[in-house]
Amino acid sequence: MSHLFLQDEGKSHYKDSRFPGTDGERDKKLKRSTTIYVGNLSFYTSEEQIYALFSRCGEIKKVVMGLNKKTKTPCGFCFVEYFEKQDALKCLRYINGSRLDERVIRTDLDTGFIEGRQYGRGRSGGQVRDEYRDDYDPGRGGYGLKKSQTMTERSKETRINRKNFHRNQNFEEIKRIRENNQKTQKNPRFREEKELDDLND
Amino acid sequence: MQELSLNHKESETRKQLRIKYFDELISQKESESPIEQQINDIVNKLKEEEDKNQKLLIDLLIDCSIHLPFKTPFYATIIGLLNNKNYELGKESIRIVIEYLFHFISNAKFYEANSTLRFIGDLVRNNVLKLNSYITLLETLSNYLIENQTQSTKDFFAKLILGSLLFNGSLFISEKKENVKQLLGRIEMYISSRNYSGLKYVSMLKINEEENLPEDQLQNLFRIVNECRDNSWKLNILPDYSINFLTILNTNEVHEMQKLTIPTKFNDNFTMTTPIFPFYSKEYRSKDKIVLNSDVLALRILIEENLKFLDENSSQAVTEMMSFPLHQSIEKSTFYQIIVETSFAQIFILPRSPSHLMYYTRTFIHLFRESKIPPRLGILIDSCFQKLTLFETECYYRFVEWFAVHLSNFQFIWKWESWGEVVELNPTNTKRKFINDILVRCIRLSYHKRILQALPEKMKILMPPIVEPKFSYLGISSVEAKTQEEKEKQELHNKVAIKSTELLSKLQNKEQPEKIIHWLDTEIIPSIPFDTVIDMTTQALLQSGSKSFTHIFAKIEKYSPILIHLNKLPKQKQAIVSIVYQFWQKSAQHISLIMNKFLELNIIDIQSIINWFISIENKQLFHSSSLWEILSNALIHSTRRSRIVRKKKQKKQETEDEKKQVIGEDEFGSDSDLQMDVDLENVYSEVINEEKEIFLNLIQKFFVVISSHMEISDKNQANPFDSWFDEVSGLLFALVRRYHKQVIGCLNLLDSVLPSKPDRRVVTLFESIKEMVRFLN
Repeated sequence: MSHLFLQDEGKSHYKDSRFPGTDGERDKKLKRSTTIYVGNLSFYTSEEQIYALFSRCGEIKKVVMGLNKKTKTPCGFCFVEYFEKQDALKCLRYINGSRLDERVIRTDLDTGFIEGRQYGRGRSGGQVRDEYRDDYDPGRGGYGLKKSQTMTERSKETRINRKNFHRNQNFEEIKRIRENNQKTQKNPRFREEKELDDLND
Repeated sequence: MQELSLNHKESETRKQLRIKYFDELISQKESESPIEQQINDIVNKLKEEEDKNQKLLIDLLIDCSIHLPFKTPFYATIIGLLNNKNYELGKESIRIVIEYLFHFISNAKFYEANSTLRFIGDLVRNNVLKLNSYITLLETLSNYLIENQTQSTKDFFAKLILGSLLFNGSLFISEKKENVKQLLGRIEMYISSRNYSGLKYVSMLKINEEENLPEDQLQNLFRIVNECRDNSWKLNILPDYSINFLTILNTNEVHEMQKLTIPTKFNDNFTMTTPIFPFYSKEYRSKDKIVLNSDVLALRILIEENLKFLDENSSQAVTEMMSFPLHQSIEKSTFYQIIVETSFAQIFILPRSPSHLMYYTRTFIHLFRESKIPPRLGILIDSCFQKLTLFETECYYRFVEWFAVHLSNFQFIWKWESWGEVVELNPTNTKRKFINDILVRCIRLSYHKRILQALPEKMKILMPPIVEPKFSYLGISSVEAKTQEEKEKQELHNKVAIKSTELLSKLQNKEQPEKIIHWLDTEIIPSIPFDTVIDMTTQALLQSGSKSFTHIFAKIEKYSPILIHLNKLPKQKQAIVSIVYQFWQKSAQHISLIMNKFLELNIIDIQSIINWFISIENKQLFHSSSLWEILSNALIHSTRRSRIVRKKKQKKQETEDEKKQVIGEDEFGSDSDLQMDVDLENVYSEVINEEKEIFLNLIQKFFVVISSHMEISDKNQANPFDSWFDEVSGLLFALVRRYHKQVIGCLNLLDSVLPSKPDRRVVTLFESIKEMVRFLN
């Protein structure tokens, strides 16, 4: 194969800001690493889907789903560890930029999973990027945190007025039901799971 | 040279040069200036760099010429113009090209060697190299055709020469006609004496004994090259930029080429026998107007090389193809058709496709940006679907895997209605099975409801059921038993159900495995039959982690000592395989991943998987696609160690060879080196023996099952060569083809796997397997 267009293999565009070491150490780890960081996943993408797609490039040793630190629900990223380095490189070449759950996903070589990295690092418990987003992304929980906060401010007045209306009612209970309803409308799978949960209950 | 020897500093400088002078050119930015101007500009720029980094510059130019097949004439003209100003540069270019060619031939890199040889012809066209040298080079290569070489080696050289003549035959219109005639005569003689029996083992579509063999690529190339010669070597594919600079190039000092010393030891561990893609043939192309002529073949060669060379950058590969300046005699729509066909055909090349299957998925994602591509691919997919019954097992599964991932990238949009007829077909019908297999994989890549939405109403009945575990001890049976036997069974079931609930709660409460083992040994094993204990424990473990793969893997890792404690005999290990299969019977993905986890933790071994799945008791499993998936994944897992050891050994051998060249053969390594050698050799022989055992057992089991099937069919006076037989033999051929390099290692032991007094039909099949292994190696 020609190396004319070859990216610097073993180097990553993604840089873990909390990597405990120097850049040199990081590069050394990346050179040996068989772990891939996968980004821009839908919150609803399951482990089965990750296995189905990523095992096309080789046998997977482990998948670690990224979780919201507070809610412990998926927050749109994961780590895929292969048994062999060449499979991780294949994954970078062939899966990066393809679609999973109808979203274009991003893959990058990672220094390797360590406990704690499965959690989002944003203030909301999810990924930091989801806090600065302006767009409405149904696969990643709707609006970003900042945008939601702005919208909250704007509707503060309206809510105060509504508060009087709800004074004699259990507002918290209504809010919970409303949130649940919104979630179920967004993703049919959630509805399925919820129905199953209800049945189990 | 990038491929050969560049130190770190040189690599960096080369990279800088590439960025400075070539990147814009390579990435094919639309330039408004005419091509002559572009060539002049780059030549002037390069002249400035020439003094400082001549060697790297030449290397980079040659790298571009070889690895960007659509642009070879462009770079050849640049070298021609540079040679005009600097004779030494031209001389050095020839030296490096020959070095490249030697390297590619030694390493059996056909695509690269083919492109290099074509480029050498372009250097003749640009007055850098003498025509004499070029024909001498081709004649030297043709010597391999008459020497005592394997068919693969002879094919390699015959294809190289023909490929070169196809593109550069016009150089011989007025000169060296006789030499070309002799060359072609030599190739013709070889082709007529060539053995074609192996073609059926690498054909995408099954070939019956009575049918004619398909046309081989070499035959096809030879036929078209001859037609091209009869047509005065007219080829309207690659532009000839040298015409625009004839006045300058005619003043060039032309070089002689040093004689190419062909490597004495040639890597011929491959096969060059490949039938042409069946859907190229006239039978399948009544609708379009593409004539299989030299232009089309030349384009296919360029596309194949382009796809191969840029297989680490599919986006660039597509850009190179789509931006190729087509000759006016070829319509854009024809070119798109050729791109689609050639790229699609690559998926089905046996024994393995030139690049990874996922690469072609990516390629089509990029190609689909051109709106005329999707309908053309659609027609091809539909043609394949109509011929599914003829597909070789391996090609069938490649088609399934590729198409499912392809669909997942395009919102599962497909003209499903056109395949609606399959709902009326038998469930074992190949077309119906194909759609079912596609849907199973699509669901894995998405979710059940989403795929249901994508299907037309009529086809919704084809949807596979939702994957869920089947825990048999979920509750106490309250049905009244009629007989004593039923009553006993029911009592046992209820007793086990109570205990399994207890075990489940222990597993969910993360109790230590040692405690559970103690509990099983003291309370359960004395009161419940041992087989039932294994069943209950394994099922409870699978049930406790059935929420997700992370859950099940964590549970298996933690509680593997329990399963190891209970399953020590091969029969018990097979029982575990059976339990996993029953528990997740609707999901090959779950079964396969859990089996591999069990293999990793030594809870079971590969032989248990082979023995359980390939047995006459589970005869019906051969109709299901899950068997292919489970067996393939288990074999990939089990041969990983041997692959790694093989690579290490090969690397070590290469290092030793290099050392020998540097320090001479008399020198010995240090004691620690020798110890490492001994260790590696021991591990190597160990893994090779393991591998032999695996494949001998695998093949044996297949023949036991096939022999039993023959006996049963004879007894029932039924036709033994039914659809079941096709499935089984297809699976056997596909697995042996995939692992032919491993099977050749135990070829002399293969006779021992045949059942005693074998049926003659079984012997015929067995001989075909052996013939295929010999052919592929």
